[in-house]
Amino acid sequence: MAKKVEPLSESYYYILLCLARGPGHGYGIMQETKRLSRGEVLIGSGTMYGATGNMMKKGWIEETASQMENGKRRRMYRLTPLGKEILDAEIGRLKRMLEGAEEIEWEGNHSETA
Amino acid sequence: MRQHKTLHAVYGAWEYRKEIENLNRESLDGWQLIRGGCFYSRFERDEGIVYRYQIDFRGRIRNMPQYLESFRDQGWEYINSTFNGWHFFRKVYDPAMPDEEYEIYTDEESIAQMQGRWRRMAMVIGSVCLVVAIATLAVIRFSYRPWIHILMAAGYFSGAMLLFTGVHRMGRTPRETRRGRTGWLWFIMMMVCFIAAFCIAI
Repeated sequence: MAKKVEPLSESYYYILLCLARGPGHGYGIMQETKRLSRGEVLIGSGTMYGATGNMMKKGWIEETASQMENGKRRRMYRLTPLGKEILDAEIGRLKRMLEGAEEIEWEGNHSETA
Repeated sequence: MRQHKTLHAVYGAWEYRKEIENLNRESLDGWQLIRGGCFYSRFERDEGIVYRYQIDFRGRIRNMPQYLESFRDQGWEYINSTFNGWHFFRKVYDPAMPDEEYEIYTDEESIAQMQGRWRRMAMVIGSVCLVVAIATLAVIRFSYRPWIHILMAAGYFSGAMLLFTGVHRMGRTPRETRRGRTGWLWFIMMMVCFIAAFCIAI
């Protein structure tokens, strides 16, 4: 069981989420994040470099064999079992928050039904 | 017409956003940065293109190819790095793209980390300068030329003060800096410390 961790930032969350499907490179993660967040979350190069470095130090992701793409060597990352636990814990936390919100009858709903 | 020019503009590390704005303005005017530096910047004339610039503070980078790959992936072109760990990048400007495309830090956490890296470095160097200044003052009474020691100590002390002021200002907007009164308080406190150290030494 993963120990209690701070809520992830959007960048960390989307990087882990993108890697949950399988190994990926930085550029792919940036593009996939844009798609999954409907264009709301962009991960800049400085943020990406810092986040992958930090997550590798924490053991959440690891580097795997690099890949050649369009003549460019691309560094590939993959989720570790610990990274998977962290992501699962974060998804669980977000689900609980959403369930809590759904239980609340919004003020707007009252006025509609009245 | 000149094809190259050199601008001697010195910015505090905490003014990096202002430096970026000025580089972007130069690019609009047809001057493209070819070498960024702490004391001067070199530009070449090219009116056919407009760039947006970014400056990143990263200190010593263990894996430079990996670092540059992160930037290349998003269309950033590496220009150069300074001796004290600032890295200059540029990207061709497309007015159709949103402004966020020209940011390298896209969340508060990573901006704070970048500024924190500079603050830590400045605190270490500033503290060393302060210790050396105090040590220089402490040996005045044994010196045949005390004024040389006083001048040296004042130099080290000024360096420390500049760095500590930078630590205080880094991350604040110019408006916040203008509004804050703690800058003056900090300056007065440092001067009192210097005069006290001087009095103890003599």
